[in-house]
Amino acid sequence: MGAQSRLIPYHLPLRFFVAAALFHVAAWLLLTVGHADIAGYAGGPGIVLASLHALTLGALAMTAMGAAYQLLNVATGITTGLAMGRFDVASISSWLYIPGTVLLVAGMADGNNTAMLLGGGLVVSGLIAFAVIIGNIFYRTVALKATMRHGWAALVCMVFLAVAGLVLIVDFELGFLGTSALPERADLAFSHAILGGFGFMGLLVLGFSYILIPMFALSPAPNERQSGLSLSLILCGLALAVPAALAGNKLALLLAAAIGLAGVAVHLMIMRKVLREGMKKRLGMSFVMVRSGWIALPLSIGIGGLAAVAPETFNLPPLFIFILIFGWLLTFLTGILQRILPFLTSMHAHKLGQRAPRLSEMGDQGITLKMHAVCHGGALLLVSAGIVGDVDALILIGGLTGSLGAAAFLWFTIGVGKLVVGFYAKDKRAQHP
Amino acid sequence: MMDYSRAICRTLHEDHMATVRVLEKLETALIKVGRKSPPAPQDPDLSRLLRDVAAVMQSEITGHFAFEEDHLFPLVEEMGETGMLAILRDEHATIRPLAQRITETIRASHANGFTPDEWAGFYDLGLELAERETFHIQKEEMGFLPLLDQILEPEDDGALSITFAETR
Repeated sequence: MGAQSRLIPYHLPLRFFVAAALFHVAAWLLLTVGHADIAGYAGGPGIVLASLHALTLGALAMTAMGAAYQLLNVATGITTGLAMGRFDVASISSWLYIPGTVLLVAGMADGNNTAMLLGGGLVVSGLIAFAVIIGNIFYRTVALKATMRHGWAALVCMVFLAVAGLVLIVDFELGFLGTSALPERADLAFSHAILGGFGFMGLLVLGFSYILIPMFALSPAPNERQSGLSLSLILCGLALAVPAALAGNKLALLLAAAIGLAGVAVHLMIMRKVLREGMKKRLGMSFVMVRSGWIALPLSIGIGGLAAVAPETFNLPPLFIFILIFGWLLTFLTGILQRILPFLTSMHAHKLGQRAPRLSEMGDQGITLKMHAVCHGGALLLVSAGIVGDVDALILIGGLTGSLGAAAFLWFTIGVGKLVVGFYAKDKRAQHP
Repeated sequence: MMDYSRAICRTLHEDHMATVRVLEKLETALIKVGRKSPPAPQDPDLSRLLRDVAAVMQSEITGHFAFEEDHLFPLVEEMGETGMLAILRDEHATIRPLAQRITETIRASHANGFTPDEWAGFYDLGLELAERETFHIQKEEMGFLPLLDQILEPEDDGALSITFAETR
């Protein structure tokens, strides 16, 4: 099948991308509202937890779902269009996941256990539908081995992540963690963060990088043996980190961080080679974000390792979560999304036989993406400094700056989305004058 | 992108590399000079670059595009891959007039250089051409050439390589 016939209906990835852009704004706004509780955050429901999950589930996993449905279809030629009766499973996943995330985040902000439980149930159901679709593609494809291996590992982490998340929600009501042989609540929450940030989302992002980075840079496919080494080291690190976090074993956590760092170092060396050998050297604003994300990735592991051994120093635990989620994953994904959205829009225009605008002219990029990059970078520095120095005012200013950047990114997303909607409206008018 | 086993795919890939390389240089030069005022007349480096751009783009639209459309697209079309080819043909149709215009503008500038208005138009045209051509090459490298590499028989590969050499 050709790339054009592999395009899935435009509204499916678009609904995930627009929802992600909205949650991105919500996450920064919630961080701003909860600024006084960030530096000393030690768990529990409220605005800080809501901000964190607006970003992880609302922006990051939402983007990954929309991108995975479209990219895997194009890259493997295997359709994401699994049907359940009259309904497409990918659509079902969006109907469960998007309102589920809204409910869960609202429940966390409000401390409402029923809303959290119901929202969490919907989110997990949506993720199961997602896992069924992409698991089916992973099972049927023989190509893209590096991406598929990372994908399988990410799905395994997703199962543990979902179970830990639901247990943590139930524990808000029943408070059973820490009794008999069960782990302490804080330890389970820490392992949940590791499974989400480095396991599920981290592995998906690293795996898709083996398709996307060579595609944008016009570079040869990376060496599979090296990507296998990177994955093996990262999985060893994760396999050690999760039980170590549950048991509160500091030494094992430090060792896991060192192994994880080695795996990430191999991954980053592969990516460096891809860019060096790529035909395309001028990669624009999106790769400023991608490269910044790559700097934050090893930094987050290093800070995570230090947070395990010296949690009282410089508010390292909340700094670790902030650098992992807002620094590494959000920075990288907004960099990739700003390339994917215009790329897909252009493909849909060609599919309809309409003249596609230039990629760089879509979504007022001259304003929106520059503004996002500047505000995002400033917000990362301000909030990090605020957490380390315990200065709430810096976190407040950082949160506002991040919100402004996220609003600019939403403006870009809606601008590009309006273009593709316009192409189809024009096509419909032409067919039914 | 992959390592191609067929000679014609490797040749087309090398063509792509040469085109991207010269268009990257063009983008860099345009941004360095800026849109507002034209470059100094008879700038030797820029003159050489513009001559390269004109030569590469002329070869691209008369040799490379035409060869793909006449000899390669029909092979892929026989497999029912009409969707991908519709995109690639549409992009050729978009890029051709841009490449023609930039070649003519460069030739005209040899004698008298650029007026500020001509330079502004050339600046916009150059950036648009670089972006559209690179995006087109990305698609050919990711979808078209890997597929062609799979379906071509060795004897067809040799004949196509000879035909391509003759068209240039």
